[in-house]
Amino acid sequence: MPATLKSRLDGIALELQPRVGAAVKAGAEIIAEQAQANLVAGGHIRNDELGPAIHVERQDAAEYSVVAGDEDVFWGHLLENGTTRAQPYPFLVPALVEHEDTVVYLVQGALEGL
Amino acid sequence: MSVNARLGLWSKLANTPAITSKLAAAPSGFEKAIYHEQAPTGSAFPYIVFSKVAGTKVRAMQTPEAFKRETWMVKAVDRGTSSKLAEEIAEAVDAALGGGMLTITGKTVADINHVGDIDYPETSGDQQYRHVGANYRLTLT
Repeated sequence: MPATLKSRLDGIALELQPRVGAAVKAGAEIIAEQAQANLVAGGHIRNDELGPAIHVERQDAAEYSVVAGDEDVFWGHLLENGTTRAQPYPFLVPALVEHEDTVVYLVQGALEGL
Repeated sequence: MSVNARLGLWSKLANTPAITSKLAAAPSGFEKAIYHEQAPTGSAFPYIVFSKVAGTKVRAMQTPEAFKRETWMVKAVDRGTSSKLAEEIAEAVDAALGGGMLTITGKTVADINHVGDIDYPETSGDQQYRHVGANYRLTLT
């Protein structure tokens, strides 16, 4: 009796990008929340403006950025990296470092379901 | 361990002529124009500021601190409308650290990775400043 093999590759390919994209986006949102928490922990003046301006932006398929600031709140990078008059207060990169493994786990979890 | 990492980084930067030859003279009480976290008031430009950004301990093989990763920012700061000199200093720092030769007392530096550039202007009154450098991740065992 002949064996019949059915390929699921087309279906997997269709599911792959949205699943990974959703996992990466979820990871980016966790990093954004951590960055906001780091600001609060530092008790920084005007964090009530910068905190809400930390957001996730889609760059490409399954590629997201965590951005600290917007058109009105422009000083996120000055706080993160310091100025000639103020020492750095890193809140964004530590959030990434703390949760980079989380992003990997989320993507692994998304792939396991295929 | 951050103390030794800080001292090791400072020593590496301060003993690299390609870097120090481009820096301003340090103020009284400082050996080089290479400062931890913030330059003292009145420092001449250009100078280097370096500081710890993040650190994590990694458990492996049932060892609580099998290795440690520390992210450090190293940036050149110059005053003026051109980034050229700050960029040259940042490139010299990158070359020095890119060689992977860094001595940290009590630890072995397994790797040094350039993990991201830093490049931004700062305006204060009628003055412009240029901050150019990078974040480096040290893997210590």
